[in-house]
Amino acid sequence: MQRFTFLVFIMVLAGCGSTPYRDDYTKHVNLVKNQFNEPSSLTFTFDGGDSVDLRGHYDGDDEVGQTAILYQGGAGLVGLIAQIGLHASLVDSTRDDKLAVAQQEANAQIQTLIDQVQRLSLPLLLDDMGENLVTRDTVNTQTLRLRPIFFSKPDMSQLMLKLVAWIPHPKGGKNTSLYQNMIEVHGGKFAAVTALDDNTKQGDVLAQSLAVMLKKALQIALNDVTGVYQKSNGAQASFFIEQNNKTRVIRGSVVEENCDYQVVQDLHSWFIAIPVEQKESLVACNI
Amino acid sequence: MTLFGQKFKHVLVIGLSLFLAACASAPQQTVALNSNILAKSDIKIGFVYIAPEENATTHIYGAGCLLCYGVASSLTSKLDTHLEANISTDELDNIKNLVIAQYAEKAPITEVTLPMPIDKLKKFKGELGYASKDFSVLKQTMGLDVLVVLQLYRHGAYRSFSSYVPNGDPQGYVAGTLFAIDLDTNAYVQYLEIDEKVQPAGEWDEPVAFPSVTTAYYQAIENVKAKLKEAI
Repeated sequence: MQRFTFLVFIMVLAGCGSTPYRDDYTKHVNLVKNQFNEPSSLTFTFDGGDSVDLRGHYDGDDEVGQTAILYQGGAGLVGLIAQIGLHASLVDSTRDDKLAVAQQEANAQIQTLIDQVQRLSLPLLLDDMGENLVTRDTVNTQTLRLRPIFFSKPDMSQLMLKLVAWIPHPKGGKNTSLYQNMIEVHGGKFAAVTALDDNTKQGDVLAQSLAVMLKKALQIALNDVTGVYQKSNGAQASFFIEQNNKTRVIRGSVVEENCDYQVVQDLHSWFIAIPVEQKESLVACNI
Repeated sequence: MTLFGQKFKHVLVIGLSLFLAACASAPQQTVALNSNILAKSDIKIGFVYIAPEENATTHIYGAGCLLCYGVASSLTSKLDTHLEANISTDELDNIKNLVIAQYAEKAPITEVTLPMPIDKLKKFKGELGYASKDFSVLKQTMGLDVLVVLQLYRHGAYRSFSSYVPNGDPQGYVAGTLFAIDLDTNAYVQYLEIDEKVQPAGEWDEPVAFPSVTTAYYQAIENVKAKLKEAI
């Protein structure tokens, strides 16, 4: 009984001490064998609707300070566990609040861009790559679900896309996904949109930047599902991206390199596309 | 009860106050590198690197009782196993090489071995801005003018607790000190605390590879390198 109680206690703490849920995050799963060799047979849909989701980029540090709580010793073992459970839920709630406030503040800084994207739609951004785009009413087991979330630097001079892509497992149940992964595409630097003199120009520059990233992310997802990217055996190295005036480290290996982007598969098996202007391209570009 | 004509309680309070005042010495603040000292001609600079005694692991803070610590350890045991098996000291060596290279741009520097551990050196009673150990004896024995010490205490991950409850996710972590001492005066030519913690992006608890925490560790390493580059 004591062991059972201790086990429950550890599980409660492990559960309460877990990372708050974020929708721009997923674990890599790839149970796809050869069923998607023909990219033309693969359809895709925007799972969250056609509107463009743009958010301010913020520091994801959700650690909270010490919370001093005096446990009541006379409450017995069950009472102690209840008190610790309450303490854990308080800390958990504070961590969630901290992230929510950080997101709100980051969004407020890029409100101009958020207003601009209201008149854009994801199918519009895909343009000629949208041939295999289907509505959510016509999805089947060969449909890749997409959830793109765009992020902007606080000064609105650079954008980033996180695309969560998945194919549900036909059998459902415990195997929830046949495929799931995240693709991150970093946009090149552009002059702050707000510096442009009229709304139409602002909208054009923004739409063009978002379209380039969305198309690139979709292409990477299709390449991954159809087996274009073989599991890399290359040595792991650190790659660097300038993000919010800090150097962000990506640990992984290169799976694709061309004139526009270097695609790195990181330790999560996510794909991260880095524009060539941020690093020395190893490929000679004929421009 | 009286002691030297005073009530024992008063003596006890005074004694306790003196004891606490002695314990609460002000911590050494950052000392920006004094490049003028390094600009002297024929200056001899020695460099010592002291690596962490432990392998990379999770460092737990705030679990203030024995049972709390046991619970905290059990919550991070799989991460400990991963870090110990997969994080080598290669990146710490890169930090060491960076410090040597940065100093070498200012004056010739040679890696040396101290004749005794730093904690065995005599105490030095100086004010803030002076080392607490007497390094000046090394001037004669080693023929140096300035000694640069990079001491890395801990690396791996850091997790903060309030008793049994984690305050956040395990973070990538590197801690240590970089200091340089003028061996004529025992004054700091440079003093920099290294305490780099990096929040992992997204979910941390992904055994067995723990990609988020591992990436956060490498991010902490790069952040430390950037800070050292700026400071030297």
